[in-house]
Amino acid sequence: MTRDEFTCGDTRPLLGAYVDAELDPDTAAKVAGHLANCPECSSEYESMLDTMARLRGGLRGFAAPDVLRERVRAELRRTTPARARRWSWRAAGIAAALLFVGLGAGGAVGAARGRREAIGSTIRHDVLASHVRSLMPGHLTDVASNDQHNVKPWFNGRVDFSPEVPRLEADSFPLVGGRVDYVAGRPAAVIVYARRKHVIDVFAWPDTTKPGAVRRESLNGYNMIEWGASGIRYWAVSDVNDRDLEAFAKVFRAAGTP
Amino acid sequence: MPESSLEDFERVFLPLMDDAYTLARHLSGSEHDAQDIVQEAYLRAWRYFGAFDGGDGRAWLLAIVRNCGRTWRRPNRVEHHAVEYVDDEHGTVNGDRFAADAAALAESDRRALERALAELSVEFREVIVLREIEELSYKEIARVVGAPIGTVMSRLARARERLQRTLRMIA
Repeated sequence: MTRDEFTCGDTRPLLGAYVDAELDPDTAAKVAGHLANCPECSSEYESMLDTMARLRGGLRGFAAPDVLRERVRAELRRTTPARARRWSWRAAGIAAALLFVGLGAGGAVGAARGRREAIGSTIRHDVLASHVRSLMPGHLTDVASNDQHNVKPWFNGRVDFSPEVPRLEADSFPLVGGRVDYVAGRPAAVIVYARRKHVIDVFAWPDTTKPGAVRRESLNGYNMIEWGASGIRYWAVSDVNDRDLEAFAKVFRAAGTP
Repeated sequence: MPESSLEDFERVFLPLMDDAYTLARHLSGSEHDAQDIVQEAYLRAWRYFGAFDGGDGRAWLLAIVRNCGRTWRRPNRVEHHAVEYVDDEHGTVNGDRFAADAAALAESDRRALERALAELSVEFREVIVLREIEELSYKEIARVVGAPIGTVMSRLARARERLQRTLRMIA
């Protein structure tokens, strides 16, 4: 046994962080190495997995009562001069829509109508189908790398545009890689990120017809956020909760702004 | 940043009220106090909104809730709270997952677990709530509770160890 190897005493206090994927790769590798050779710690690890699953399964959040929501809004208004409010019905609609998505009510929120809706629907289903397909073993990435300088050039020659490939691991969204997929009959670049054990796919293709406005929706338990930037349409899709996806879209867009 | 408006503030933070209320409920152990804490936290957040850097609004808000909750003067220290659970209202994504989860606990076991959580010291309780319910990263938790990541890690480990004992009893 070399001095670099972990003892039981080194390993035990780190098991929780190991399960949470919060250890640096070097430490995680040492924990894994110890677990492979120590039945006691390995059994403790199993038990930790079980505990954490049951904590997650057993502990719940509380919904804020409506009366509290009303109270907070009233208090905010009472303590704010009218000119600083700039409250509008449009904003009320957005807030309501966000709340709607947040409650998992699903459906296309604020969706466009008619033909645009039909096209949007094809795209939506293509994006979702591609995302779900990618989750099968071996389908996630064509180029696997956590380095944007590997992933971004890889798209050259494979698609005729250059999507943003920001590094977001500082925001806990490590880059996983990229692939090329088809959405509505044309190639789309897919940039793949991770969020804990979840995958976030960002689909990108050129589209100058739509403004950069952000749209959110959920479909079959997956959340999606769509936005435009520099003539490219981006769709982020994942089974992470809407808050995480919202945070992801925010840092992605911020990182893409020169 | 343009002049901050209540409209912007509400768009970001009103949808996060369930998260704020969940933390306040677990910190205070009382529905009534939790409401007061959340209201105070929102008023403070709005006051400091100019200093909000546009990063993760949830961690920022939860830090304010946490600080309000930790300094809240409870008129009645010993208060037994009825533990309620929210199944349908707290987002179908999690709800469905829990429902289908083999690890999901029976109602009586969940009550026992909630009681065990309520009996933990507040330092342990807050990290469990922030991690297992709010699902923050260690880095975010460290920011919310104002402690180094290493401290967060060891508090979480010890808190989980205690809850593990409870789980073994009801297993």
